Formats: sequence, structure tokens, C-alpha cells
Amino acid sequence: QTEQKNMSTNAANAPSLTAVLQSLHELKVMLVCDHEGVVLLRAGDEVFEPALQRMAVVFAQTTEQANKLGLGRNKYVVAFHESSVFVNVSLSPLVLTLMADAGANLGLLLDALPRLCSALEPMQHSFENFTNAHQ
Amino acid sequence: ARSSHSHCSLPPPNMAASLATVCEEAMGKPGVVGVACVDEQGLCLSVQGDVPEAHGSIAALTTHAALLCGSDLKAVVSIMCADRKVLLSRSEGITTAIFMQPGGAIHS
Repeated sequence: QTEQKNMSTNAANAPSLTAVLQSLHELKVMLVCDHEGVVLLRAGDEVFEPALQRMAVVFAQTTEQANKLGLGRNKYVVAFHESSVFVNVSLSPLVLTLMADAGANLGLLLDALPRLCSALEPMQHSFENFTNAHQ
Repeated sequence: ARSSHSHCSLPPPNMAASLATVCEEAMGKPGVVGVACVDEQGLCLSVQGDVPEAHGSIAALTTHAALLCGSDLKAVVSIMCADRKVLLSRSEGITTAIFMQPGGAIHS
């Protein structure tokens, strides 16, 4: 039942991220993009990628505005659609997007967010340093 | 789409009140250190006391237990470990988890 998730990544800690992703059996797609929708990391079915890229761009703007509401930093947003559920996580300057079927155990995905964010932290910092160095 | 900044989903007001009442009642039982109610998607509806941040697992455990009991969703799961005991059961889509000190007994 568990699908083999193909990883495209240069992150040094890819194995631990892979382990976390493979433990989430109901996760269909994972995408890491920058705020312009450029894909840095992908796992799962690529059919949905263009829509998820657009969603990531919108979320990058949404989370930036949400941070100004005086409620503290926006951590993540869950979007419930008819056939799918999406979790967009702020890893500024990156966006992590998870996609699962509508009836999936969303709690397991949310419980895994700290582990996913931790695994992506080196990439997040590298990207941040790279962006700052080239501005 | 609706956005959420916490792990809890929002039940209707009277449901929230009755869930809170049930949790408080359970917390009052001897040996109980924590109570959590989660929905079928693993989202927390109500939580009191010492409950780990693993609400998705609470729902998943009763789902998997049902498969071992001929798809009987009323299967009760009992987990024993060194420093605590956990009882889980599902009713009408809501899974209730009761966290107890080891050796605690629940009568109702």
C-alpha cells in the first residue's frame, strides 16, 4: 500500500526526511518551494505539482500578511477542499506544502510537522544564506 | 478553505460543552492524568491534563484496532508502558483517549 516516494534533493539530511515521509502513509505529495513557486524539493505524484506551486506562491503572500495581524508568526494553514486537504507550512523564505486525500488522518500530518521542519532546517538556512549573499 | 492555527478543530457549541463535561468527569477518576477527544481526521476536539502532542496517533490506533477485530469500530485499545497506561475507544466517530498512571483501573 505504501508508495515509493521519489526524492529530488541535495539536502544533507535527506535520509531522515525520507524516513518521516515514508511513515506518513496517507501523504500523497510533498513540495518545498521558494516564495516565487520555484520547486526545490518534491516527493510523490507530480501531476498536482503546477497547482501546488501556485498554492505555494499564494501562501507565501498570505503568511507574510498574516504575520502582520499581531497574532504572532503564522506557522501553517490547512485548506480543506472537496477531494483533498492541503497543509502549507511557513519555512520562510521557503514554503512546505503537503497534500492528502480529503478523509486522510490530518492529525498525523500535523503531528509530523515539527519533524519535517527540523529535517528541512538546513535547507531553509542554506537558502536564506544563499539569497542574502546574492541580493 | 478554512485556516487553522492550532491542532484543534471546532465542534458545535453544545457538543463542545458536552465533550468538556465528559473530559472533566474522566479527569476526576482516580489515576487519570489526561483525557483527549479527537475526530476521525485526528484533529483534537478537547484535551485536558497531560496528553502528548500526538492526536493523529490517537485516531489512527482505533482505526487500526478495528481492522484487527473484524472491522468493529467499537474495539477498545489498551496500551501499557512503564510509566503510564492509555485506554482508547471510538464512538460515533470520536476517539476518546484516557491517560492513566500505571496500574490504574477504569470502571466506566
